[in-house]
Amino acid sequence: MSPPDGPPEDVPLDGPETVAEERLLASLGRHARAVNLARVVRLLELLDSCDAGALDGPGRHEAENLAHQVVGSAGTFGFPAASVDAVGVEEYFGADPPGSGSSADAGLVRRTLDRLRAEFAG
Amino acid sequence: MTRVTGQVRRVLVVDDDELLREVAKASLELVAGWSVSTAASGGEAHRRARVEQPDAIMLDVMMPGQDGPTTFAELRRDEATHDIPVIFLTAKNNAHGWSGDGLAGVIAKPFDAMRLAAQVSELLGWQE
Repeated sequence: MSPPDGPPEDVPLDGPETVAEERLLASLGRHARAVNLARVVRLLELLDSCDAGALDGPGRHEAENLAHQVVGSAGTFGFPAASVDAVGVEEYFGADPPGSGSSADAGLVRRTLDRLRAEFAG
Repeated sequence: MTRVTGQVRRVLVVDDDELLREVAKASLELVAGWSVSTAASGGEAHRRARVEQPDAIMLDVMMPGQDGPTTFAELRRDEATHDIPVIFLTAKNNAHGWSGDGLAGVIAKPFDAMRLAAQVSELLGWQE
């Protein structure tokens, strides 16, 4: 039998399991934010190396992979725009040499990474 | 939120990104109550699939070393794993051109963690 006035205000309609799920996912989200911030900081270091003409093949692959991970994960953890923005960074480092055949130049990539760093740093 | 209930399914999630392995595992276990194992590479995925015989494999497309399509082809060639349905996970926007025997579908990354189990069930035709 349902209570006449509906559930008490402190019991969510979706039930306690949902609260636990959402808390766990929120916790994962905080962890993801820190990991993606570290990825962006590393990408800025790799971009510095690239600008100095010192980015080798493994460095380029590392950068492409890091950007791809930001693309794939940021939106899942509440940063959908960051996922979209990071696509250009992935494309930039995916070319050999970086930026060739890409619409993004190093300046645009740096501005994007600075914006992502600020977003993840909160 | 879509809550999927019923039979306990066993799913293998393969992604080189630890964050996505964690969130996919947490989501599928909590939301759907499935049993989820994970692998960080194509080679590990193949070894686990042979041993664990999961009901489905969620396979990241772009991974360092052996990528998803190569792993998928290897799984199809192996008698021990060729019947296991595979779903590609991908952040690439050209993903929907993929097809092949045993490829059940594609889920785009980033995905909605609270809807992931429902998407998997829909692609596999699982009645939960």
